[in-house]
Amino acid sequence: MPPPDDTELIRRFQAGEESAFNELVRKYQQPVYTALHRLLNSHEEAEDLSQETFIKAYTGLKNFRGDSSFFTWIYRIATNLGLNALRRRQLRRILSLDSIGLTLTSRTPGPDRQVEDRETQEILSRAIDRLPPKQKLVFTLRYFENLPHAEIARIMNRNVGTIKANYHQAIRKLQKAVQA
Amino acid sequence: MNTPHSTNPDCRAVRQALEDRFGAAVPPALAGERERHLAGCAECRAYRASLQRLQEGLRTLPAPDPGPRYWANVLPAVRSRLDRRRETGAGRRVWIPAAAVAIVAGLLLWATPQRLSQPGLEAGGVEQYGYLDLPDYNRLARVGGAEVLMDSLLEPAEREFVMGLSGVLDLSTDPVDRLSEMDEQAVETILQKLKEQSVIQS
Ligand SMILES: [Zn+2]
Repeated sequence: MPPPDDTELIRRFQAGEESAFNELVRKYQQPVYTALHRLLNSHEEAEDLSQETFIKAYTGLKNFRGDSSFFTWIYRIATNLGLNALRRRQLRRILSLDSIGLTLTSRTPGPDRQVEDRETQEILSRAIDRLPPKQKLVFTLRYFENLPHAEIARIMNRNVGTIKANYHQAIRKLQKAVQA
Repeated sequence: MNTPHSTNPDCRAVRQALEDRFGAAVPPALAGERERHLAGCAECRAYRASLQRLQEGLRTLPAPDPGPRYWANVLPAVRSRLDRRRETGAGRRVWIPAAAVAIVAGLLLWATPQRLSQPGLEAGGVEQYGYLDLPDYNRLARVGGAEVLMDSLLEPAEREFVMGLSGVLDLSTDPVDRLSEMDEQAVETILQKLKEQSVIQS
């Protein structure tokens, strides 16, 4: 017997079958966590916000009418939470004097030159980390999660042109970072 | 230089097309005319090569994997959090972080691109969404510390308002954490102020 699809699981959950929700969590826990981890570069935050995503889904599912697919919907919840966390982080950087010192220190190359691969990884991780939140989100969903531009547009409620423009800008910044 | 920016419209179109295909497992071929342009344009070829190097670098980044024990624990953790919320009633506790997010979004709107494109400040790193990009922030902070940063970003009236706000929020700790500790009335007052200043729309 093939596994039940999302629509069937949602219908069963709405009819009061709690275990259908468990199925949805098991099915989506990995993509949700991975996307959040890519976005936030932190296991703790990804773990916390993954759980929060499913809690919001649990509450919202009762009124879910299927205007979008469950896939789009759960990504939208997760990425909204992720974006807000990124914005809070950015606000902290803007408003906190301490973070200036920290950031400047971390930008200074250490005396020991690491092997080239490791160095590129560090440069790239830092460059990805510095992308503005929405660019980072688009880049994560497109490059790491392999989602088509149109799906990202649905998740973020933007038009495809905007998503593509964000993707281009992100690529250019990363390209500049590795080139420097 | 392997820069995406070019005054030649053909170059721009080719580079955008290359970026569109960036990351695809099997990148679809460019249209015939663009392939011909690439064949004849050393700069666009160099840009393509630099994108390939970027892609190779990105492939070496490890995928996040917290391991099987983590996956086994997600559902129990979600269930126990749901149970706890049911017991305490989440309504009020949900509302304040939502307000905090609205304020955060409002504060970020201050760092608009127009303000950063004043003489002497590069606008290149700043996004259409109004977030202040970190390199620009660092550049500003390096030049003159937080005071200069504030002066560069804000109109005098706004600066005064932020200073007033920072008194309310005690920004020396963590504004968001502080906000989540505030009562609804205090948050409402700040929201009202932000609305008056057209910092937040709704
Ligand atoms: Zn060219």
